[in-house]
Order: sequence, then C-alpha cells, then structure tokens
Amino acid sequence: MSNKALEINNLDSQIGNFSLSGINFSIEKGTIMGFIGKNGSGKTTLIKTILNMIQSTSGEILFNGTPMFGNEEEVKANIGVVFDSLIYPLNFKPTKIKRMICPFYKTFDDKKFSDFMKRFELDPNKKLSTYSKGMQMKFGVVMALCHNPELIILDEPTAGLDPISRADVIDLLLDLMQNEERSILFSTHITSDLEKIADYITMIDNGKIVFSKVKDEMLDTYMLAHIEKEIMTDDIKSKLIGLKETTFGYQGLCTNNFNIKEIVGIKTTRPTLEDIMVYMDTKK
Amino acid sequence: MLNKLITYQRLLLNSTPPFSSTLPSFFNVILYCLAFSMIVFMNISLFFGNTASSNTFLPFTLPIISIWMINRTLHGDHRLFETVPVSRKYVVLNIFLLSLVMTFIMYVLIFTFGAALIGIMIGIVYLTESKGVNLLSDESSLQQVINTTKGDVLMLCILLIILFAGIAIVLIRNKKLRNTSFAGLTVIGYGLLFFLKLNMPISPITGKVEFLQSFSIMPQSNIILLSVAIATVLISITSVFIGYKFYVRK
Repeated sequence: MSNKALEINNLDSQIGNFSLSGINFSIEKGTIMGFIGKNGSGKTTLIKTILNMIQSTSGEILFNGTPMFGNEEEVKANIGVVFDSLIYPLNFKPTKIKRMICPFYKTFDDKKFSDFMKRFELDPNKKLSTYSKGMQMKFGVVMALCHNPELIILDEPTAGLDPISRADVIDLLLDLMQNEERSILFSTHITSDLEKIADYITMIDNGKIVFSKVKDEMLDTYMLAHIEKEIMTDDIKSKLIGLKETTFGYQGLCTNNFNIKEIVGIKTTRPTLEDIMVYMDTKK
Repeated sequence: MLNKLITYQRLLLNSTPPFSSTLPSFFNVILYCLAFSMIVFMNISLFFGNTASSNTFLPFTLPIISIWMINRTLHGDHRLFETVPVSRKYVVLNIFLLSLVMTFIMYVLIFTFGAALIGIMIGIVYLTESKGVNLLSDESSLQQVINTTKGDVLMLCILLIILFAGIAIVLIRNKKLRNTSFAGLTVIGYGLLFFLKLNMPISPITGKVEFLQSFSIMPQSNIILLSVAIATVLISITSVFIGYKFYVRK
C-alpha cells in the first residue's frame, strides 16, 4: 500500500485545442490538497482526466498505488466525486437517487445519508428540480460522501453556496478528516476556503502545474510588498512577481530571498492565497 | 446480479443529459434538418409503397433514435453511469444492452399509443357511422402475417445490425472518426438495401415493389435471409468486441 492517496506522473491529455502537459503531483493520505487556477486553466479537465472521463495521452495516475485502468471497481468504490454542477437527474427525488446509486457501493451508509440530509436541511422527498442551486450542490456533496470514500474529489463544491452553507460544507469536510486515511482534492476559486482547511496547494495555469507545495511553506515563501512610488527602481521591479500600481504606490509579490524589508519605504505583509494567484497571473 | 443489471440500466437511461436551453447554432440546425430529411428520404425510397406499414420504417428509425440518444449520453459532460464502481467491460456490455432496451421501450410505447389511437378512431367511426365498420376477417389477418414473415425477420436482422454497428461507432472517442464512421455505415447500409430492392419482384397484390411482400416472394429470399442472419450474428459479436476495444482503450 502506498502512502499516497493519489499520484500523478507525467500526465498529458488533449481535449480539443486545450492540452494538459507534464502534470506531476501527489496527495498524501490524510491531507487536503487545494487546487487553484483561474477559469479555463485546466482544473476540471484535469479532474476529468484523473477520473478517466477524458483520455490521457501519456502518463500515469495511481490511486493508493493502483492504476484506474483495469481496476475501476476497486478504485471507484473508494472515490467520492462532486462535480461543478449536479450530475443527477433533476426530476428525481433524493431517496430515489439513493436507491439507484447505493446498490453499487458495498459501504453505502443509509444512516449517514439521512444524517447529512438533515444536517444540510435537505428534504429527501422533494424533487431535485425544486432545490436551489446551493441545495443541489449540497446534495452532490452528500452523495459523494455516503459510501465512506478514502479519496474525495471536489470540483468547485462551494460555488453558489451562501457563506453559512459554505462554512457547513467546510466543517463537514474537516469532520471527515478525522479519519487519517482519508484525503481530499478540493478545486475552488474561493481561496479563503482553502486557507481554512488545505494542507497543500497546487496551482494550475494553461494546462501546466505552476507549483504544488505545502500551504504554510508556500505562504511563507512569498511576501506582499507595498512600495512607495518615490523609491521604486528597475532593480526592485525586476525582483517582483507581478506588479500593480495603486494610489499610494506599488504592490507586488516577491520571494523571501529578496531582502526587501530593509529598504526604507517598503512594507511587507503575509500574502493570501488569492494574492499569490493574482500576482502569479499578472506576472505573465 | 440481475438487480444490479436492472439498476445499471436505469442509471444509464437516466444519464441522458437534458436538452440545452440555449439554441443550437445555425450550422447545427442545418445539420439536424439534413439528417432528418435523409432518414425520411431513405425510409420513403426503400419502404414506402401502397402497403407500407410501421413494420417497415420502425426498424430503421427506432435504432437511429436509440443510437442518437446513447451518443448524447456517452459524450455528454457529466456521465453519471461512469461515476459508480463497475468495470469498463460491464459498462460496454450494458450500453449494448441499453440500445436494445431503448428500442424495445420505444417500440412498445409506439404500438401502445398507436393501438390506443386507432382504437379510439375506430370507436368514433363505429359510433358515428350508422352502417358500422367492416373489420378484416381472422383469415386475411393470418395471411398477412404469413406473407411478410420473411420480410419481418429481415427487418429484425437489419434493426440488430444498425443497433450493434451503431453502438460500436458511438464508442469511438474521436468525434471526426465517429461521424465519418456513421456516414460510412449509412451509405453502405442504404446502398445494400437499395440494391436489394432493385432486385425484388413486383408484388402481385399492389403491382409495385413492396419491400416486405416483395422480399417474401423473392426466389432467393431464403438464401438472402440465411446470409443476413449469419451476418447479423457475426456483426453483433464483432461490434461488441470492437466497441469494447474502443471504450476500454487506455
């Protein structure tokens, strides 16, 4: 048995004009991997490639050391997936969907289903079409978790949820992480969610992995520099990763290697994930 | 085992993506109209005569509808049936089975509604016409069945060939290759059936070439039927094998 819940090695994939190339990252058991990137950067494409819904052209994807190919029954039984939109038929009631899905999972927990439905205040006897988008998303989360998966893959699960529901989903995920064998790949635009729960962060841009690091280590690697207009030089500019002009001067991201703190007129703060994402993009 | 199979079939049936609320592009509208016109034209040119019945055009139309729906399911954005833990072999075999199930359901629905509609119409005519309605005698109905049995078996074989070959093509992942293969299957299938029709004798009842009746009185009909039946078995088995290779390919 591997200590990696998911391992991706040199993965390439092509869909239309978009391609994923040289994807390498892994998720250790018992950890949460935050997966960030702007719209169209390849997050959903990568998730679908991981799940073999899009064919890879080369590379290797291992789930707990086992490839999906030829082991679908075993591998999929241990994965729970939430897509960015509901995949269940809207004209069905949750109870009917549960009856349709549960025969395929030996570990499907009816009690858990009822508990989660209650926790999210979802009526199991109402058709999904009567649910709001947020409620549909919550139902997707419920269905992904009821068979006690070891790896949970979430593609924008908190999109469309109000802050209270989002907090509820995050709390639920944290509760699930009490099981040390369980791991989560959490793709989202809402980076503040990841700051609360992620252990690792992987950023993708234009089909390529920009970085895949321990979250705190990554936040410590960078600094957000606030620079007064008068002291800005070409040398400082060259050392910044992305730069923005503000009414008070400039703001940019830089690495800790750059001894910027000692320069008079420059203040530094700890960046957020959003800052890193935004400045990494402006760098281009 | 059977319960799982039925559940998976239900899952597949319910995995068909909903129709998009956005209007299709002008090119797609033209494409759909062209495809629909082609199906109508092929049906008319092959099967319609004085005695054209549902037995002639249904084997052509229903499998095409089934294949189209399965194509939408299989190449849709979210494939619910692929999220559950079953082997890819199981998925492929169920997709082939689904095509038969879908066609059967549509056939039953059409016949049920058709029979109900005809029943209502006969009832209305019976009630409104003072002379009543002359129904066909049992003998003539039996004669009709015997006359077209060979044709009906041929139609069943054609239905199975369209379904199995069509589903194997649906399983091709490359869209261009898939569409080209569909076009190829259509041209070959239509060509062979049209060639068969050209060599059919004129029906003594209507004085025209009627696909089912003319085939049944064709001198070589037994040999053709045997050949088509063998071809159906071979094509079906080969299609499942090829479809499996297309779908399972790493």
